[in-house]
Amino acid sequence: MRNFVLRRLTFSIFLVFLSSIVVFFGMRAAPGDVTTQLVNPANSYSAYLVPNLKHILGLDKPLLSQYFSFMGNTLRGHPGISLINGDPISRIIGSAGLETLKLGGAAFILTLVTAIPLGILAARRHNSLLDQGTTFVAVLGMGIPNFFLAVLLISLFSIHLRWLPAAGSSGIRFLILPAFVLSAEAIAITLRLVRSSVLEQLSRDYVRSLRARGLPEWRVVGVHAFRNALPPVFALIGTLARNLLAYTMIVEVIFRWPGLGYQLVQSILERYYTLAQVLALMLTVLVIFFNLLADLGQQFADPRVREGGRG
Amino acid sequence: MRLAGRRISGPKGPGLGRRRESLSAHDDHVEGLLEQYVEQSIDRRQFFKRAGALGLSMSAASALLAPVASAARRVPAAAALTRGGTFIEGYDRDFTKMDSAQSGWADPGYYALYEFTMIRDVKGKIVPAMAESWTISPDGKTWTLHIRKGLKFQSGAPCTAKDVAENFNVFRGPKTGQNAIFWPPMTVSEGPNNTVVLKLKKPDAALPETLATEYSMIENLAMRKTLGAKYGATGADGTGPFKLTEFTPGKQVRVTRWDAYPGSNIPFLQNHGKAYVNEVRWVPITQASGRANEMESGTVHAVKNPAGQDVGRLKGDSNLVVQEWPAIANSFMSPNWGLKTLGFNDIRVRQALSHAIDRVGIAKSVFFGHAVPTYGPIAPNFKWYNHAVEQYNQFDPGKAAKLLDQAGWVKGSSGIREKNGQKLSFTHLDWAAQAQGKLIMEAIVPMMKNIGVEMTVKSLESAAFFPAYPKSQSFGYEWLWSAPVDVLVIFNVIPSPAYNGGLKDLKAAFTQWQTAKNDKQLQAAAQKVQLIWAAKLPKIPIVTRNDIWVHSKKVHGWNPTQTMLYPLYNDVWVEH
Repeated sequence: MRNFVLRRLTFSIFLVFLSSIVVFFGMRAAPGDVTTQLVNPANSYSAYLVPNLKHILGLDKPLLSQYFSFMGNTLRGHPGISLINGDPISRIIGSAGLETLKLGGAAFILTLVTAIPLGILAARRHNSLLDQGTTFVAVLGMGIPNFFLAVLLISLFSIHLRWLPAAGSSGIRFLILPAFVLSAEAIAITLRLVRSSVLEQLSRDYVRSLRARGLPEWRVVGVHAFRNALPPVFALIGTLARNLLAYTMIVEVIFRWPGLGYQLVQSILERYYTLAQVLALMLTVLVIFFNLLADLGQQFADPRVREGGRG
Repeated sequence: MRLAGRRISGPKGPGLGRRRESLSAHDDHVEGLLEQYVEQSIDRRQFFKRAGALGLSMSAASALLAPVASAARRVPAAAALTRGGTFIEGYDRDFTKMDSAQSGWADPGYYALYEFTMIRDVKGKIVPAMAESWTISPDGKTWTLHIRKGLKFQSGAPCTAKDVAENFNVFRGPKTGQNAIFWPPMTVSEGPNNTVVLKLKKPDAALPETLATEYSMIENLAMRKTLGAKYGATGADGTGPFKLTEFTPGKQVRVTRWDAYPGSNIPFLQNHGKAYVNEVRWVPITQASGRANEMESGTVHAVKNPAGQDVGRLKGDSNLVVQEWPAIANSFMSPNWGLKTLGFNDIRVRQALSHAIDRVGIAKSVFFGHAVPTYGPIAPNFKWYNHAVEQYNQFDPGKAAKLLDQAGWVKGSSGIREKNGQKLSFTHLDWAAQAQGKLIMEAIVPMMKNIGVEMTVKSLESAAFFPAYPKSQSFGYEWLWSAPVDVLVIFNVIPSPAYNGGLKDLKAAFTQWQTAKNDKQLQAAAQKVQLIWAAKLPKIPIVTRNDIWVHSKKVHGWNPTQTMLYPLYNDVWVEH
């Protein structure tokens, strides 16, 4: 187990290093740079301003030197300042990260509190109307692209019923639609997994024994069967977190939610190199981290997949 | 505006504009009808009905109505004025720093934080703002601006003629002002009795056109120096009715009412005291399709430029007011005059390309009808629009083909015209930041093919576009500037005079504009510029999209006009 952890950690660090190269040089491979955003091309003095700005931003140095400088500053926690408002990038990331955390956290909680009880209920009432209903909803959730679901929900709840705001981030009401859209697919997948996993447990001999001993049904299903059904759900959680992070970019843009994804899209379009690089790298690191977490979680939770069968 | 030797004061009420001058037999009746509309004695529907009875077509009636629409809205509303609350406006871009000297783009927040020395009224006439009056010497070279006394910055620091003069020197300095290129050569100094004295090398009646742009709004330079690169983001200090509270790009910009605001003397404002609302908040809605959603759901109170396909639906919403008119803008394409091998230096080829373009079709298809075709470089609602441009550049593929034949470009076996073994085939660079630009150009591709010209469109984002366009075979985008003739002066030399043919008669017309002594001369020069431009096509005008302004009926005093980029916020109040 220790070897596995060490090996996965080493591999993850190597992946982060590789990502930093891809992110940095990928951004530089795109044509143009930020100076064309900052200096009015009609300015009669742009011939002076552009080189001056490039010098101030360090864009006149060799690429390799820029890479090491970027990595050094990022690892020290001071990647630079925003070219729009002069704020340290670390502060922008902190503030956008908090917004993404709010949205992602809400979607994650919504996924768990919706999918787990519904999955257990569906398994308990196998082939009932409730089971078929949840299956139908799960298929819908997996099949509808989140951007299309967003349009549908905005149209219904914001425009026709006027219950919820169509976009923005000024309070809890603003969180409901994007969190639901972000979690829709995750709810569907988790619900299906919980249902099938619990169903599998319910057919086991120990469940029959527990029932024969007269244990209340809610304890049989909700405690014993559910606990044994958890390992695959744990493994799924890492994947869910990674997917939520990926989808957050689309959802944040649609709902004008000022999180990391929204900032990343804007900074790439405007060629704000440092901010875009830090955000892209950070999101990559998070994905790698969630993958690592999923692998480790599965190792801890299920002795059957534990490498070498040892702890 | 003042003629030499006369003092300029404010406007004499909501006049009905130049368009009236073109009316003939029905002048009095039509004028009476317009006045009834302005006074809100009749509504829009009744106006059109009665205009029809007077023999006016729907489009003629619309054209007459557009300039007075804002005046009509300024009549006090029936609802009782409510103070306080927040006004939330959707902005069609993300934010740039609120620094009139250095920002590459002026956001609507400027109109709340800062003030103009002179400002355009609803008809485009320059009227007093911070400068309560101004005098011009008989030779037209010395301008004396009388700055209002008692002005203050939001920080409490006094704002005097000295500050205004220092601001002007920053704006016109090429190292310090992003738009210094628009300032004519001059010296600026503080004069006696709170005046600013501008001594120009040549008379220039167009000077107020530059003073009335957003990049000439007055800011506290001392505060700017203190905050350095963070000025306009973490803080800003102007003389406008609101103070900057929050600047978060991608999320929102907030300003709160400045209770010590000494008031405004702008003649067309209703409210000459402090602002009515407690707070104005702008949120960036960069996705066009999201603007209608946020308006219909009540998430915002007002929005600019919803997607064209949503406008009809918004107009049908009884809770909303939708206004539209051509923007102070134009989308153009600019074949590189220097490309002799492609014949772009041959006026017949340029005219052929222009005649191939179905501008009306583009306005209908790309903009869902919310645009106007432009046969000259400026849209028809410009105060000095020259109708004579419409004799040029009409959609006529037959004429286009004939012109190309005359120029020696004949169709080859592939259907593409050739001359001396060179195919008439070129790549047009499009600026991807303007979503409609690519759609316009993609619509033009088959029109060009129709006359045997092969055009491909390459769309590049800002960072890639600007370094590439000076060497392009053709490029285009939409300019947007509240002083349209001034911007043409620049566009005639962008990316270089040679790219645009270095037309001598056009240069002479611009010199006439830049040395005009009065409005009459300005008008004559402006009209000459438009005519030469339409005939010789240094750049080919295509369409001007409409600016579409939508607001909730609960919002009052938010009065966008055709002559300014954004509305002022002094009069705005929201029913609670």
